[in-house]
Amino acid sequence: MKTSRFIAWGWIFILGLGLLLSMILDLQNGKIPMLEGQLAPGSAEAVLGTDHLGRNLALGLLSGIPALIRLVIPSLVLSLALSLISALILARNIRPKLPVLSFILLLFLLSMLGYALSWIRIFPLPLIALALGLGLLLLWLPLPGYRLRLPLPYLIQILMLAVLSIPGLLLLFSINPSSYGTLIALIGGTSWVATAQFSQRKMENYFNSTEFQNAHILGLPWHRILTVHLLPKLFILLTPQLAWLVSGFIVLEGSLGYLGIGLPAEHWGWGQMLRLGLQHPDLWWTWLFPGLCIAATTSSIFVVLKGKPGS
Amino acid sequence: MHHQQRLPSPEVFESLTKDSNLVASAPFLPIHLRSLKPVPQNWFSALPSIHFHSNNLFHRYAFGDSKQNQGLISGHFGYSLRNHLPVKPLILNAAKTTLRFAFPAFIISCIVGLVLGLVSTYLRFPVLPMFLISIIPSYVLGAFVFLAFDWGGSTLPPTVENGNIVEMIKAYSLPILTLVLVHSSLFSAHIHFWMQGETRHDYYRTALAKGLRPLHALFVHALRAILPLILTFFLHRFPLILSGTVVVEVMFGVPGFGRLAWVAVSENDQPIVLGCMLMASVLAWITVFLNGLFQSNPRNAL
Repeated sequence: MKTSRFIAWGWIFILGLGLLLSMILDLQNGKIPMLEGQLAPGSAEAVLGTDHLGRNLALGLLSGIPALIRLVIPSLVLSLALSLISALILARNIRPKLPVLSFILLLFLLSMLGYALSWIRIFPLPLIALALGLGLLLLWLPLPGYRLRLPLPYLIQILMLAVLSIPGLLLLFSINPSSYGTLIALIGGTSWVATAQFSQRKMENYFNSTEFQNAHILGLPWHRILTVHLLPKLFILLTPQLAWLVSGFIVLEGSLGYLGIGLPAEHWGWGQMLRLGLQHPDLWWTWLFPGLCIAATTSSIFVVLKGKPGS
Repeated sequence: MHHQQRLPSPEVFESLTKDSNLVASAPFLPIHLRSLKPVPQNWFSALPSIHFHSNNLFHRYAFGDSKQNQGLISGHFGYSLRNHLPVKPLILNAAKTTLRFAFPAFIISCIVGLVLGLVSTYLRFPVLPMFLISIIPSYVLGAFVFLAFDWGGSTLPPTVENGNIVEMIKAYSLPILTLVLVHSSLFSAHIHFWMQGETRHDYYRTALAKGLRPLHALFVHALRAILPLILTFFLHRFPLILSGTVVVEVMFGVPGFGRLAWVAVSENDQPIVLGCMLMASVLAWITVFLNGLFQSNPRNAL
């Protein structure tokens, strides 16, 4: 076990060095200088050989590191933020107060206006708004001045079920985003449910503990309880869960690159290199190194984050 | 071959359908257009028509815009923008092709994963190698399977439809092998991990202390305890037999569901993409419902 962790940390160190080197050589956005020899084996000029356009494969592998990080880290941050917020809302049963009629009218009018003007292009949204609006109207019409408590935990649970039933790769296909922002929003927005469910259980345990009750009685403010007491403990427990999440993001980035769909035009990653390399199976250097890089990176991240075997 | 036939554009269809004689004498048209009757001219046909959808493509797809396209709400998936063929049979045929190799692969993976998980727990193998194989992406595993077993293109292309079973097994062997590698490593790793957890419980130690053989205690008592977990996990993975085979189908050239979606996205054929998405989601909804039903029993709740 110690050997595997040592090897994993070693590979991550190499990746860090590669990232520094790619920044020094200005290899971001897939700007790789062309050499004269196409599909040439390793030489003094190109250590790992060249691809079908005459690009240096070693420099291509280096340029894949910033491309991977640019996609994985923001997606991870978004996914974690969504999951922690949802878990907190579910664990504390937070239901914010809203004026009833203004809420109904705002939701209904905005969605219908957006749909009629083609801002909203998802067809069930106005129907959901209509059903929600009519339901709330029937329930609270006799008391127009009553302030409704928005059933946020219930809505989040429905959203979780919906996200669980969406096939992620097909969703990315069907939307086919052309910018990093959309892609990150889609990846982060479809991968937070498992982490949220796990965090919810851990948060409920913490809120039922004597430690939290003592802190609450002593008058500690909420932001201090969350940031100083809850989140550090939660992150330690979440680390093995993150092993699956981060490895999944790396695999997804490679899948999109391999299929040639859903990534911005300037993105040049190991998945694309593997796809182009497999067009020439005889030329082993074109497909072997990107394949090994993907496998080594997913394994290393998994081993490092998974921690002890029993965790 | 029939699916690849190039048909006239919708504008040509519209001009043809104005004349009923011409429609009847146009054998190349699809059946649903051949039986069209011209719309009678009434006084209100002179009024300008009001469309709520304001040319919203998704509204048209969902609620339809004509008699030929009555929308998803009537069970009509629309027509492919590429060859104007109805989407539903295209997707159903592709799904049938996918299920032909993905379903046997899933069943084999379940069995292999269960056996491997049990055996590795009994022999006390480390769990990490299985987890590491399970997180290697299918396109890397598939590439190595392809290069190891299909060097020089010796295997048949996986397009056999009406051949005998031997030919079919030969044709789909590489995609099945890749899927079995991907799924069974994941199944066996999880089963091994859960079984290891069970062996630390008091009931297991008591059973061993009372003289029960370790094999019996493991395969009967521990396995029974983690059975709800295993079934839930299999149910979670079940929708992937349709939507999780995109990479494998593209890699091995299987004309299945995932490849249809991939080709449709490359050609911007939105009705097919939406149809594929809807079908995969329906399968996922069914499994989520079945999972909820299964866990509604307190004995199975996790």
